[in-house]
Amino acid sequence: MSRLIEKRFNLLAVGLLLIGGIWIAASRVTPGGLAQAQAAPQTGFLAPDFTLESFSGESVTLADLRGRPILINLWASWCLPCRAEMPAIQRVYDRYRNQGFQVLAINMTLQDNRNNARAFVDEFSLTFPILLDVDGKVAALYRLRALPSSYFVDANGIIQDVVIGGPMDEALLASRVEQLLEAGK
Amino acid sequence: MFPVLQIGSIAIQVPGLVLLAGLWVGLSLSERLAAETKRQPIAPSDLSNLVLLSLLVGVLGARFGYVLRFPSAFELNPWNLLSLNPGLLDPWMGVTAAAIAATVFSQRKGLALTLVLDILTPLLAVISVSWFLSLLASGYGYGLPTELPWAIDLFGAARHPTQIYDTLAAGLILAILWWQRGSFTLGKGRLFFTFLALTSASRIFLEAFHATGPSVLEGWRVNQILAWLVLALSLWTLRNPKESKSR
Repeated sequence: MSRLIEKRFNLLAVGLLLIGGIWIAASRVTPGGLAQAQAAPQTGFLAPDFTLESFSGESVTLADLRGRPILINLWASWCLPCRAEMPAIQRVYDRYRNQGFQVLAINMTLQDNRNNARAFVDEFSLTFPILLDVDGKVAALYRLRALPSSYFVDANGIIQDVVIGGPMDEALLASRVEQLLEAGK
Repeated sequence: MFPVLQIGSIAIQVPGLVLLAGLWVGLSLSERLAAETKRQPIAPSDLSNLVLLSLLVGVLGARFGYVLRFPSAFELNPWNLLSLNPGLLDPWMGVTAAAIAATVFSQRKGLALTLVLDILTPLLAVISVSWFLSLLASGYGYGLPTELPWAIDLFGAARHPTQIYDTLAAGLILAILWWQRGSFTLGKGRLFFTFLALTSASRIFLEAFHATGPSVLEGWRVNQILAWLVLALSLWTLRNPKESKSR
């Protein structure tokens, strides 16, 4: 590099770094400024609230479970990946429920058959709450694109991870739940 | 946003598909660049082997890193160590392992690292484009709310289309470097560090419009600070290009 070119390059480099530094300072965010206050089925947003009934008619509202890490799993009895991952969800639920972990397994009843859903629950001996999305309200709220769809929600009601499709295995479920529990401490 | 392509009962992850396509296109461009160099410093088979080995070691390293972070998660079913699920990978450990593998392979083949980096630059530039396209498909990396006329309605607000800004910037960098590749003397690392400088400069500018990403202290964005450091390193290296030894 000739001396003149080197001098120009140095000036350009210093100028670029200076402008970059000023831009970084100018684009700082206010503390908590990036937090998303609105609800959306996306990582970093509040999980959209809903109230659904179980097979027995018991009503469950998501907002009432604030303070506990939650896995919201949308499923149907005809969905093969749902069948494959449900035993893993049950095992992870058994392992972490004493630490406050909760599973809300929401059957897409509008696209399913209530009797088939019941048989599915019995077949896998599921012990966590099974809720029925009879009118497709939750499917619309969570912009359902594929089954299964899973949302890992922290104790503050914020979605920390979304897994579309499946099946999820135990290690993925357990590690995500451990992250939620760790963040809640 | 188009995260999943549902074909029957199979859900194909579009972001993963986009990244794979980027890898294929990028490798083709890097092979072409290697073939175009007058002295043929890297045989196409060496380049393919280097990329494949780095990928393999990168995936193994990423899984190993994840197991180190969450050892108890694998107690329920140790077979999950072999799971194909990409959610069970630690990206930074993967990148580190891949970089080490590439360095060791290059040394064993007697290839100068700066030469390898120059040849791999088209691959990295295409992967950069496909990475931002994958964010566009998944919806991650969304922007701050804005009232600008080109804002997109996303997650309940009119927002900066940051994934589109990022894709355009990465595409522009790829285009500039590819069309100007003849003006770089390969082997000195200048092509690679120019790519790094342009990419980090674009990150400093565009991160300001993102609603995601970590921040520290009084709201300083971590990604911008890292990009500034990389920019400084790149400019310093471009000022003092080391002569490298090619095979």
